[in-house]
Amino acid sequence: MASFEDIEYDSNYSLASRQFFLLYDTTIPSQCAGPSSVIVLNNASILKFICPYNNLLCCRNYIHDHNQKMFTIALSDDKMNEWNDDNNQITETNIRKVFIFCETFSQYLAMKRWRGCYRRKIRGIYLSDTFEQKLLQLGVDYIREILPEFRRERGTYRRLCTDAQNLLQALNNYFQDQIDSLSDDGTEETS
Amino acid sequence: MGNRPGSFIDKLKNRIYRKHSISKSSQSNITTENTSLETFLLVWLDPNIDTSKENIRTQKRLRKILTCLLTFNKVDECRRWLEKCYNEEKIILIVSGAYGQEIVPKIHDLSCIVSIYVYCLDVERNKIWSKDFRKIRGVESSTNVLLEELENHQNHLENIEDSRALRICQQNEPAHSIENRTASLVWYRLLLEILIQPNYLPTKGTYHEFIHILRQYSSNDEDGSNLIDEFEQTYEPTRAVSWLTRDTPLIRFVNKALREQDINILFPLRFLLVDIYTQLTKNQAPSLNVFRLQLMPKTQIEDLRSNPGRLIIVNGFLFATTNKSQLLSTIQNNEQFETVLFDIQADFRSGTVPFAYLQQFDSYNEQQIEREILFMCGSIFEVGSLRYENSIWRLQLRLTSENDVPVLSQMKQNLRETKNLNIISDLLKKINQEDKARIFAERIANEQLTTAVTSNSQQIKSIQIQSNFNELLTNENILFVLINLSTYFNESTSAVLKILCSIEPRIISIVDNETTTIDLSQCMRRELTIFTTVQFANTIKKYSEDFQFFILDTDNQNNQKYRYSTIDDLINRLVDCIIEKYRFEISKALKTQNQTKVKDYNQQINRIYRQLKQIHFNHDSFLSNTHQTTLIWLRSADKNDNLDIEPVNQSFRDYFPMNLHFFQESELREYLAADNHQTDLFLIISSDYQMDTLVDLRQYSNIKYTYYYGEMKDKNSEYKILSTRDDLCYQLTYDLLEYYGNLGEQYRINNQAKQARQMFSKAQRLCQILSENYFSSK
Repeated sequence: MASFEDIEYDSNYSLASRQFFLLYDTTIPSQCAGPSSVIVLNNASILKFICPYNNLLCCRNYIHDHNQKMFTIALSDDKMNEWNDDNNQITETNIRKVFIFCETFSQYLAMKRWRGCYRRKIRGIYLSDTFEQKLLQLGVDYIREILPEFRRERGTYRRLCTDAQNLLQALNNYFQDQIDSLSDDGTEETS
Repeated sequence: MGNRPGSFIDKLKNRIYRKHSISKSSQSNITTENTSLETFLLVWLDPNIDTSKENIRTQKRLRKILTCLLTFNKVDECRRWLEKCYNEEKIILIVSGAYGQEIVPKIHDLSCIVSIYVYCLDVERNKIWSKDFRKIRGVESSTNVLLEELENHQNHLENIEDSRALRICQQNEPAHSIENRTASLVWYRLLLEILIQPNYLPTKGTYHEFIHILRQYSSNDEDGSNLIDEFEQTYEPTRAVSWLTRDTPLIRFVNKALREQDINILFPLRFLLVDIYTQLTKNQAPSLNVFRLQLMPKTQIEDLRSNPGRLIIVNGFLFATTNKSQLLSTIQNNEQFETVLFDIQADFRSGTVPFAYLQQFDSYNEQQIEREILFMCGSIFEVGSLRYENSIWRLQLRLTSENDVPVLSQMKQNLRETKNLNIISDLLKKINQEDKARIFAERIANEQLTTAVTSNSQQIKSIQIQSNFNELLTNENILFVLINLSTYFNESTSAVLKILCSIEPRIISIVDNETTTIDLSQCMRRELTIFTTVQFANTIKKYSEDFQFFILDTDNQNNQKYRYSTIDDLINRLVDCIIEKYRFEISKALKTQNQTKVKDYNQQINRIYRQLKQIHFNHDSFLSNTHQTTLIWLRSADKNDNLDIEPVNQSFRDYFPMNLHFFQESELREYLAADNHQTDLFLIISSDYQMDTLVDLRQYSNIKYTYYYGEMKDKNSEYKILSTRDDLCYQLTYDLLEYYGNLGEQYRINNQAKQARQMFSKAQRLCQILSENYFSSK
């Protein structure tokens, strides 16, 4: 069962003026007693646009050090709280959009009521059921944004296009799975 | 045949109907004092009413004209019953010759008696005595003639009832000093607003409630029951108008409820009103000059003559025709009432009721010349000139927009913004309609209660309740126990528990009224998670490490771990515990490489999350079968976007069946204010407009996506400006993909598989378009 650890970041994306980061937990989530891999990413291998971090400090340092770049960041609710609890002032003005994924339903509801930092930048809060689909969609839009920067580098340009096509194919498959899981009365079929 | 014991008619005959429950299905405890769902009652008195085969056959035929037929075979019994009738009841009496001569002198002057037919063998002899009684409309020996006369008479009476239901009032009145007649227009239009438009009432469908009422009412009538069967089996929203135009008891029920503004029946009729409104709106006719013949009492004519410029509100549906000459050829003399030709100028604009040609629907019958055009109920007309020409009155009317009635538009705006339904009860009280105000308040309370009760009692019922905790300890399947918490459950927590129990019925148990002291140290079983109150937790003698406790402690000021101050937080913890249990199972399945189990458990988790999100956020719970999207352009005044419009509209024609263009913000706002919010809007705004405009327009709930399109004027803007057509098309495609994905999800949650598949398929097509058009490396 693939998850965040299985994402293979393509360093070509680090050349773009915008980057997509993912900040996740390796420890057991604060309220969970179960296994740590809460979010299943069946398509982890094609999420090459995502630069994954499991360390908040490293992630923040990179963002600080590259203040000429803009960042989109997807992070766990625990990491969001950790970021917020940090006494340092949050100075990262180059974080454009924030997406949060939650490990538990209680935390999901709490995040929906979130009034802390980055509230205006939070563009979505997700549970494990929709997070992978959202990452696929966000990836498509992110690649579309940075693609013009690689117009002269045909090889990279083609690779990025292929990545976007793979993401769209995975989305297509996702919708097909949804169709296949529907029985005639609208309820979901179990295997 | 007679009056079947226990039937509505039997109860009516025995006068025990007066406090019957209107609907069990809706769990309503509202009572109605309606005598009948129809305006007129038919009473037949004959010594051989139930013994003659011919009479039984005639009863069956009579019920096709009026479902509510009461039969008597004794004069005294019938007379006593008639004398007990209320003044407002309207009774048509059929009586045999011999009985007629005996009963008519005694009951003729009762105000409930509208007309009398003598149905006898010896016509000539009975005509002699009957000529002294003006309410006797005919003495007939032929059944066919009697039925034909009755049918015509009933249509005639219905027309008169229509005129009685016309309300005349002032047009320009301030809200603070609204006069009674105007208030009666306003409350009724506001009632129709909350019945027809979504977002006011919590319950969705009233179809089953209405069927239940019909079945109660028609239980005495075989044909009526067959008709209800047919209605139940064939009714579809797209055929609502067809049912309205067929000559069935249904139309008589609808007409009566609307004319009399009968709140108790109008609420269950909500589904039909919504469907007819939708059909008429979709088939809106252009501006028309139409005509209608209306019988009116002389006093009403005088009222209209002395008050030009006033408004008329038609409570019910209004039929009219464009063929004046043909309509005039159908005029019949009437001594009691004046015939008035309504000459209506109907221009459709914002705030008018919708109207449509009936030929658009499969119900159109060319023979019914007076039924060519149908106006939605509650139409308002401005009264023009009234003059007498060629033996009839001619009244000029102009279809009026509610925006032309300041007090109405102001109060409607207030209702839309505040959703305060008490506005209607207040208006009813103001016009001394205390009873209607009470019924309205009860009905609204009942609507809200129904939702809560349904989600509480029905949902809790499906949860396994154990008699006591010790019994439960022997059941190894049970992993989660809720002790003495039921009294704290609210609508939301009950709904959550229902979902959990429907997905995993074996692992959760609820124990109530548990008072025994528990010694858990003696218990041999493992793995039990207990959710309970702080009071019960304090009674437990010894804890065991194998048992995990989560406690409802409303005074949990120190935020102690495992203690929750609200029942919602506690039940959400239960959700997390169940998800954790699945995750443990997934870990175990992974170790044995059982991929099927992994998939199953993941599906269970996803299913729980999806359904819980629906409870908490209730996104777009109202989904029609024909979900509509419209692309709106707010264009630049100099039309510099001319070249882009057609190609964009053409590219997205499969996704936006309708495109609307506005050149002024005010026009767009007017459209949005009048829009019934059943269409999802994608809005493209020219960058010539201020950014504030875009931000402001986003407040409308049915505007799903907005695009700022054109030349980039403010480089520091935090909003994305789409400067090329290619960018605009990409963004539309991308957003449509998200939109249809979400819509598919919503339909799936609502168990609408067909629609869900359609939406997911559309999303798939959009994936292909994006892949081919925007990421082709060539």
